[in-house]
Amino acid sequence: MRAALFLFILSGFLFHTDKIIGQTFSVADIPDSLKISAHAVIRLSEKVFEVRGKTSATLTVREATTILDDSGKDDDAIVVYYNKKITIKSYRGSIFDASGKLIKTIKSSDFKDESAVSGFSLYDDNRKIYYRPMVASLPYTVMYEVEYQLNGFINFPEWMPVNEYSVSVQNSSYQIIVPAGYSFRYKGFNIPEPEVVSTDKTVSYRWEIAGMKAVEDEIFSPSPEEFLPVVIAAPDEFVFEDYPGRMDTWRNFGLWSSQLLEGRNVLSDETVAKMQAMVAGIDDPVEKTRAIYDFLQTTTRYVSITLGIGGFQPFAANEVEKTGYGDCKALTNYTRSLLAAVGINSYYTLVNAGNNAHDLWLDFPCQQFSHAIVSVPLEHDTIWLECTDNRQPFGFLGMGTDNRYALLVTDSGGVITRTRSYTFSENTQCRNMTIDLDETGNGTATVNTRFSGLQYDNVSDLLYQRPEDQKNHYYRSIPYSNFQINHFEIQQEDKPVPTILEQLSLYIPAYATLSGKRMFLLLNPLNQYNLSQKAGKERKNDIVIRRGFWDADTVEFTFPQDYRIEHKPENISISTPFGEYSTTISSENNHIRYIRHLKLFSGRYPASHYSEMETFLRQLQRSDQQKAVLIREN
Amino acid sequence: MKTHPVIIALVTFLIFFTARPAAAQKDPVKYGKIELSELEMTSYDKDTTAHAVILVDYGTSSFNYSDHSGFQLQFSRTVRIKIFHKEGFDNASAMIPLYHSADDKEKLADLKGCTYNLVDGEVVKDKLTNDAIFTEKFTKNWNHVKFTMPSVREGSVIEYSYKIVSDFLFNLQSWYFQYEIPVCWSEYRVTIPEYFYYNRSMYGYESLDINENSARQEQFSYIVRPDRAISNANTQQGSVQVLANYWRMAAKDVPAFKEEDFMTSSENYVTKIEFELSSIKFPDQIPKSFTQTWESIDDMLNKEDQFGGQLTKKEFVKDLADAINIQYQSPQEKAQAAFDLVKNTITWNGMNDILATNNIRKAFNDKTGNVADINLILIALLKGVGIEAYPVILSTRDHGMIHPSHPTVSKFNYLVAQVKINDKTYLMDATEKYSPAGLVPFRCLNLKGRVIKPEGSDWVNITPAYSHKQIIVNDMTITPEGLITGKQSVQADGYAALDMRKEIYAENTPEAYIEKIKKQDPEITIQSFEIKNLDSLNNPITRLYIMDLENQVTIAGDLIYLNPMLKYGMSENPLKLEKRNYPVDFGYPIDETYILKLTIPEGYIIEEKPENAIINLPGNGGKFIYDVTLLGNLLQIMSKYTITQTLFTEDQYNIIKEYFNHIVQKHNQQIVLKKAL
Repeated sequence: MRAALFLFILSGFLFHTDKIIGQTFSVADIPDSLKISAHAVIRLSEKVFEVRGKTSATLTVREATTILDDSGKDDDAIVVYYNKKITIKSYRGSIFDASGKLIKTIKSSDFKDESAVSGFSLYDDNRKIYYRPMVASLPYTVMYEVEYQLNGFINFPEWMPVNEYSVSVQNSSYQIIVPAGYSFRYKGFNIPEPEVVSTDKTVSYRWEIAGMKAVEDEIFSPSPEEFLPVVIAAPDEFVFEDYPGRMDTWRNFGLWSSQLLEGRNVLSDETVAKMQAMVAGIDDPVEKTRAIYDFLQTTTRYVSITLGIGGFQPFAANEVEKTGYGDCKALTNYTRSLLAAVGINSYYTLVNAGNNAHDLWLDFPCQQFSHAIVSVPLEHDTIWLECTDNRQPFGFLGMGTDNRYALLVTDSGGVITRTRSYTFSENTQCRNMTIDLDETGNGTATVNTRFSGLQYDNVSDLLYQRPEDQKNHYYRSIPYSNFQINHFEIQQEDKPVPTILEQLSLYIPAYATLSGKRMFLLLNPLNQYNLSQKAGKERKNDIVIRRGFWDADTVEFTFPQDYRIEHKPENISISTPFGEYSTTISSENNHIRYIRHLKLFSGRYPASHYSEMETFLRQLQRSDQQKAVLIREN
Repeated sequence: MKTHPVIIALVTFLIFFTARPAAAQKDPVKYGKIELSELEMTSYDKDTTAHAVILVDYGTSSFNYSDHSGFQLQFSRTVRIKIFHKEGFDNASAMIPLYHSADDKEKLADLKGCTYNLVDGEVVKDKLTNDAIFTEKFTKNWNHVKFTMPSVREGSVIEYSYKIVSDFLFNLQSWYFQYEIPVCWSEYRVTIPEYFYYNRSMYGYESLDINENSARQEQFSYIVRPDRAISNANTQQGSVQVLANYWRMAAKDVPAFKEEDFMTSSENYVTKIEFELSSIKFPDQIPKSFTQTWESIDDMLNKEDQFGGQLTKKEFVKDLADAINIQYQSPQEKAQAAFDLVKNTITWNGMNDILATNNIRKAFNDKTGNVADINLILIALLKGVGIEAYPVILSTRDHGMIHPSHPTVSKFNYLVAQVKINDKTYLMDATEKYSPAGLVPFRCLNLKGRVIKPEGSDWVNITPAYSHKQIIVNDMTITPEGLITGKQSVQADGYAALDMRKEIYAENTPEAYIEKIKKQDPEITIQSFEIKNLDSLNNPITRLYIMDLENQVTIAGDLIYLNPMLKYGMSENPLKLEKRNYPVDFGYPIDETYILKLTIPEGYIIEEKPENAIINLPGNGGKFIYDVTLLGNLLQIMSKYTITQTLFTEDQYNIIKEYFNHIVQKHNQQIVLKKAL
């Protein structure tokens, strides 16, 4: 059962008492349609958020989930997260068998209480209580109720009745109760308008969904927030840790955020002087920024710390100056202070990070961010600085922060902008390979590959690993059974778009397989496309290709003189709206040259186009596996 | 054994330390005395690629006496680390676990740290400040003190030092000589007064450069109030020389530890020393024994309420035992019924232990418990139906190896049942729903266990009674267009059957499982399927498909090229690295057979086929057979490989790697069919 992790965005849930009476949890009551592709069924979920004041609210959650199979058991645990801002007032649970009969009442002493921090975090007050039901016979139903007290909030809890695959929903509701006259906004996606009930003292808004079938994972899908029901809600005015703010507009939310930065940008005179000395003689603002970024990367490091205004306010710049570490907020704020010292204006920039994160809900200003970066506006271009990575190339944004809306926090308020995107022709992997084959099919190969743009991100982790680890990486990842790496080198190249050059020389015994007088030669040795999923009966989601790329491979084979080509695959050229693919195979004497291009374009297409796309991908997958056949003369 | 601080309170004996050991060796590190050469270092000459290196790691453990707490352990440690690259920055953060019980806790004292940087030729110091030290309540009994060093950059030397004062005498700190970064010098000194006996267990593959043990006199002032129950001596006050056991252990230039594939727990391989309290004996006192010899461990377990004490309980299973006795006659049937009953009614809560949670009757009523609860219930029920059964304690693969030369109970974390039927013994574990009786889960396959009996406890080999066995039979036809259709049967036995059953039960129904499979591979179309013996756990499970396979062949004019393994060959060697530092441990024997019966199109002949092959691993460790025959237009291919030796030493690495290379090579070979003219 998913209880929300209240870290940055408050997302949580609760209940409505009169509904549950009389409800039983007999598995027989689950409609068959909700069992299709489902590991678990949410029988009932009721979440009530009640605003008591500007900084006080309660959240009650009652949820019952039926576990249908062993996979469903993976999330049968009741896990309730809390921290200093969101405390738990009460909690309890019970377990029912398939017939709906109560088989266990879970007492609060049955729950375990633990830190909810994973990995090394210097300070983090997030905790969890959890309980793992142990039920011998499937199916069974786990129900729990939790009551939270919120001491300060920005958004209201977000509601997403389904947020995982293969779980269906019988009935789920969300209710927001506010004092009469309290002003707030809401927005629903993929869900009808709420039922509104007013009394003298309160106004209640209630959303409900029923009979929602399990969602299946489909490749090339949009982020789940785009196609699943979501309700977001937020007050126009709020107070968080004594910082009052408005977020009816992005400008106002930015004003609040800038308040949190006030007075935190002071550096020692010594550091200011040092920065100025460092850039003395440099006129170009790009080069000045680069010098500051270099300094940042050599003198600081990222350490996770969740302290201060619920994780919204950065440590002051002079703290980072002193300790040399900080989280994303602290390092972003510090970088801006360093830039300011040399007269470069920059912005503290909020983003919602993640490879497949949903883009900002632009028309609904509220707290939607999980990460901070720096943007440096220059005359012709903007430089983006990721401050938490000591090895990030200057100005580069990886897949966690590229191509999305972001909020610049300026003195005069928030301004929406868009981060850098990389086109398919920038995200390249360009490979040149030669393979010389001897009489027994053993190959001696050289491989030179350049990875650029976002494809740089695919290999950048390797760049600074120990040579032994790099070598082991190649041994593990190169798909031959038996080979030796004679030489390898991986280096960053000085290019406007980040680029890595990788050079390998390999000895591959039995590269070509022999059967009698024939030699079989796989033409595309290192870049086989693999479509790992077949469409189900019907594609539901739009097709989204978030990031385009372009792979170009040239492989030159030299084979023994006494062989001739018996079979050579046809050249192929396919052009579709999604991408292009071509192979060109030419030969001369004892040489074969194989050239392959694959371009995938970023874009969005209706679900009905999926079979066309799948056909394309399967065609290229098939083509990638093709072999040439050589035969020994005499 | 959950040793409790109560043991300390039982010692009605007071003693005051006043003297410290005389002239000891010089300490290998003095906090704060950083050498300029350490700051100037740019790489570690023994491993020039290291991102960081532990220059020196020095710890001591000794005993203290405090008036109100009695005897205490005092551990102190100073560690100095050189950071070379940004990738080594993680080593600037540290976490110290501290144990606490309801009324007592380990105390961290004198935590201090400093980062040293060379800036323009000057040594710049940045101290660890209190506001960068945090304590996190991790679990009920453990707190984590975390800190990270300031001003860390490439070239920094960091140093920190702390003490832990502990009343938990069972918790004499272990010492790791090896980490994921290399260590130049690691030294641990332990001084133990003669009253205390600890078993020492050394682990790992690196040897110690210094391993000295000496006795030394230590002077104490004391007040002794003897236990009236056994001694008439008066209260004494004075000063004595007490013999203390002194160990000095040190290792030089310890290489970085690297995890490898097919390894059991890294704890089995990393070089470290551990201590386990075995007994306490004061003058004029009854000795308190904890663990000492395997016999005393056996004895202690037999007496322990949550272990041996549980084996006397049988009332609660009497009705069930009677029912089994009425329904079944042979001991085999009775054992099977008892096993099924426990397995199907009591759910494992995922916890490992050699002790019952409370008492097994409660676990039985709750229908859930830890592994000891479940298998002790199984033993109780087996005894109830008149079958001889005993607990076997062992350590799981991820938990570490048992060393019979080091008697210690704390290394065990798991309990299974040894069952004797007609002079044959079986091991049983009722935690896995889809296991037949007699199959012990993979996690248990860690060489040795100890069977605990009232008399005659002994070592037993945890030998898997089953192998990972699978037979794939493809009975198919190929058309001149290259479409392959036919029947596939996959019969899985032993561990392979367990895997398949788990996969199927991960889905709601076998139909849902097939739906999932159908989406996985675009080249396979399953027309219909059947699963046999899904719930008949003592039999192999069989999965039958009527299926089409596409994109398996290349057609060139009159020729059809195809790999007879189709998609079912071993395409990559599971062991690819050049060399290996630690053994390869497969756990169980492997036996994989593949058969293809392919009807080739009318009018086609075999133009070319791979050669047959037989490859043996030395000492009957395994065998690979590859055989192609043609009967009319029926092409028959058989590939079978076995691994019967489950553990290969690092010296044998190349042999097993080469064996897999041969298999992969054969599995890549092609057949050429040609249309006869």
